[in-house]
Amino acid sequence: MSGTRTLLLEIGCEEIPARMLPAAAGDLARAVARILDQAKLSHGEPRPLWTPRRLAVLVPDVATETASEEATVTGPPASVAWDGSGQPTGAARGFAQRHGIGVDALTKVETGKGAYAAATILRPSRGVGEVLGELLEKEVRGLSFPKTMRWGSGEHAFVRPVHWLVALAGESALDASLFGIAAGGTSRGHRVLADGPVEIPSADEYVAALEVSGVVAEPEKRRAALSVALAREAEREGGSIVPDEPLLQETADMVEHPGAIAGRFDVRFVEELPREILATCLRHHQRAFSISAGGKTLPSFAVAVNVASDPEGHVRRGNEWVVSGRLEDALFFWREDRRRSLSSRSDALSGITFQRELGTFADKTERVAGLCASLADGCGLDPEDRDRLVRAARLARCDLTTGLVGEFPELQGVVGGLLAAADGENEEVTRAIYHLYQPAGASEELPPTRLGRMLGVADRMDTLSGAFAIGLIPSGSKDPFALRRSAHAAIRLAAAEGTIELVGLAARALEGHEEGPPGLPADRRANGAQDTLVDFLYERFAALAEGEGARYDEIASVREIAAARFLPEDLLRRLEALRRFRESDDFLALATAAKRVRNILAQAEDRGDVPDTSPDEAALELPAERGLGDALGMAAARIDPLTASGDYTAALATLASLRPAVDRFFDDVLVMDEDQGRRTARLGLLARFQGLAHGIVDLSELVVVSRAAG
Amino acid sequence: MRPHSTLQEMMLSLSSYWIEQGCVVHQPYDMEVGAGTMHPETFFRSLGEEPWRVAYCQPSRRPADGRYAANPMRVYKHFQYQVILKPSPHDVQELYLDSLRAMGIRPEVHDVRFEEDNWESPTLGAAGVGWQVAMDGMEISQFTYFQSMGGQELKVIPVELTYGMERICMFVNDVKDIFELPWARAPWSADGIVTYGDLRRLAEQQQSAYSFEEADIEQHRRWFEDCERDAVRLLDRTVDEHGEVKAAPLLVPAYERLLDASHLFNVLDARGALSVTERQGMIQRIRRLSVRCARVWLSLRPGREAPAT
Repeated sequence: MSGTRTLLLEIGCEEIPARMLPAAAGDLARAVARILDQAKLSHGEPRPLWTPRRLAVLVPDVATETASEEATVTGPPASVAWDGSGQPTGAARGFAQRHGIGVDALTKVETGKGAYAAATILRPSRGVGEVLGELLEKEVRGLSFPKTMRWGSGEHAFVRPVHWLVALAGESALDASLFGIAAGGTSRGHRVLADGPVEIPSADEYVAALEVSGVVAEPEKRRAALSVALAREAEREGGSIVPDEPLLQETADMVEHPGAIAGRFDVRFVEELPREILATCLRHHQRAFSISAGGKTLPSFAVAVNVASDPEGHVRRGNEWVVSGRLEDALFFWREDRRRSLSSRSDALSGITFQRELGTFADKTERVAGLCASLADGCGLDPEDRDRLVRAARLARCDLTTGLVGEFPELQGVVGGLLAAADGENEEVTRAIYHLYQPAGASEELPPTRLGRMLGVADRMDTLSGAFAIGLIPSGSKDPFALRRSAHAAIRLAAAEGTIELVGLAARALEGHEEGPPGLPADRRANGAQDTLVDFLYERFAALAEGEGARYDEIASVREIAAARFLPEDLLRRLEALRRFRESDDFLALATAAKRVRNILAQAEDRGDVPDTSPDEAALELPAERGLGDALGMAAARIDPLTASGDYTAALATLASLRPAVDRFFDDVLVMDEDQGRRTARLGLLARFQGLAHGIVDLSELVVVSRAAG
Repeated sequence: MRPHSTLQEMMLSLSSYWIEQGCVVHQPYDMEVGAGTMHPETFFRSLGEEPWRVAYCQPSRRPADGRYAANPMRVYKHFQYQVILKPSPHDVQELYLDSLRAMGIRPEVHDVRFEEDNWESPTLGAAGVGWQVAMDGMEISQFTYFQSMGGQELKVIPVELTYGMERICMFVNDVKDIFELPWARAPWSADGIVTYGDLRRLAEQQQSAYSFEEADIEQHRRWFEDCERDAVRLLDRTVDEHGEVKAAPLLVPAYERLLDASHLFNVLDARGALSVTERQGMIQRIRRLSVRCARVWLSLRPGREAPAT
């Protein structure tokens, strides 16, 4: 009997860490799909489900049986299977018997390793249960987790001890097992709301059967329900939840039943503690959501709970108690930290190691301040802003010595900014410090102020150059110091700032490490760190540009420009202009011409010909030569100012106006003339064309698909 | 005040409960330790494959946590009720929830959660995987499946349940200050109860002052060196370099010197006397002793009578 059924697999565990759940359930779904694919069982898209106590997967439309098929199995070598007179030996008989066929049915097959006895057998159709039973344990053991554990007699390793296994195809329980636990149709309900076994009547009724038992197994539904419950609690407090998606996701994965409870704390915490510190304290210690009304923080919070109600008020009281204790601590630190000025903390930075071979945070501060000064000069900051930028650099890391940052490391920068403001530092200075660690992630916002972005670039370039100077260069998946993230941030910050040039900055930043850290042996100093660092930055730039829609060949076309003058914002504008130009009619002809020019010039160079870009009048005699020469002269006069002002779209359009002259030149003129004078003069024209194009983008790097083929 | 449940009643209830589960109810170790895990009945008996069940309430000293009896939550010495079940039983979470019920806590009207919290003790060379148990947002227990101890990967896995007795008692009685906790009912006294503060306040004030201000740093350093040297000497005379026992073992005294060293280190740390590198170095030195003690225990154990601790 064949047909399709929904397949359910549920692994019941002790509480799995929330951070691991989505990936683990996804991996399990892929593992089940692999099992089915391997057995050639057709199936629909597997759907991962999870709660803290279970990893589950539902697969719709799974074929219940495999098709039967013929297969050839090889046995002992022919020389062993048959004796000298061609009679089957004991080995042949044993082999035939094992496969349930007569010894006469054995055949001889040639393999790469010689002749072997072979049996042709019919693999009977297998049920989905048999397939799963055979492969499940191996696949589940192969799942990877950030951390696994053993329990009991220690034979098995998994993310947490496993307690039950449900495997159903439609209504039928499948004969599988895992870690010595046999599968069945019995799951478990919510620990408190419906403790005990839950019969799952069929795979299709899994979600509904659990729901009755207090468990919301669908993660997105649990999250939505939690969001609603939190909103309701916040409303009761007269406000609304301050949105926090990551926290919502995490807390929704810490409960089986998505409930919420609000609580209150003393209003003095709202009055005395800065909003950021209050919110971080709530979030960091209690995974509590802040509640606000009309932009004002309320002295209330809400937490996700794994219960439906709080009949005796214990849950609310308990959470209020703990939250108040935590806020009390935070307030204590906030008061203590303000007893000293931020600047008075700078001495203590010499006691905090930045990186063993790169010295302390005092050393880093010194270097970053120096970089900021040269960055300010390079970008033409006025003297006041220059002083402010350097001041911000000197104060930027002082908050590492505060009690608050010790307690809430994620508030570094923010605490510094708040304390600087409390000290009466200039607002530009305090804002630059406040946003120093932004952007932490690829999509996080950049600091809102110019000085903030400049400080951010300088700080990251110091980190990067230091790491590269001592050979800590990320490779493959190894990037322990998150240097890719630093580089990505540096590129984004520089791109937003426009005038920050990264090749020069990299060189300047590397100078800061020139004398070498005291503990570093000379042979560990990396040679050619600057080139490696610029290449690394370019890779990150490429990733950023790709994210904005640039193609890889377009990115390659500005590579040379970046090597000389790495202005991310300028490069992005060139790419943008190129993208538009690519859609124009002239693009194909011009890009093809650019490739041709490149090839001809390369050949000429091999022969030792030096292009002559300012030949005698007499050397260019054909109309096509003179035409191209005149056109180049006129175009150059227009393109140079356009390139200088960054109007690359107009520059490319002007370049495109050369097309008739270039076409005619190639039609009428043979570049590699016998006469050396004519040859080098013609090469000179091509070199001028190339030089003009290269000032915008290197068109010869672009992949050209001819219209006929495309 | 009529307490819901006194600290001593709760300790007694827990002991009765774990006796029913077949535990040896042991006494606290009579030396300074930072955590119940350092008790030899946990450290040594976690090693090897023999089953073991023990429960005891271990006073644990953490000099850096002393607050001169002025903080409602933090103290120099607190009481850890500790249970070891080896191998970890299948129903250990249910056993734990029942132990709360035994203390009069109904999980049905609370939000009891098992939240990831992996444990590590660098000095004991030990690590485990598990949770902190939070009740209504408050951490009340540590729940750990040991994976290694004394630098040895464990084959049979013990589970350790550690109850913060003061916290749980504060919670049950809705008392916000640890020193107001009811320790015992005392009909003979004016208040009718003896509080935690009556018993512990003076010691907390004095021990805090000692750890933060008075402890003689140079003397503690010397004592640390002496304890370490003695532990090494005792271990050296017990086994040769191949781990073969060569003389009547003096493992227990060696382990006690390790406990001494560990406490002295904690005092020095609280006193702010250790630089980052020095601190790291001392942790490594204690860890080396732990690893040697664990190895000696294992080499004494197979087929031989386990040394009594």
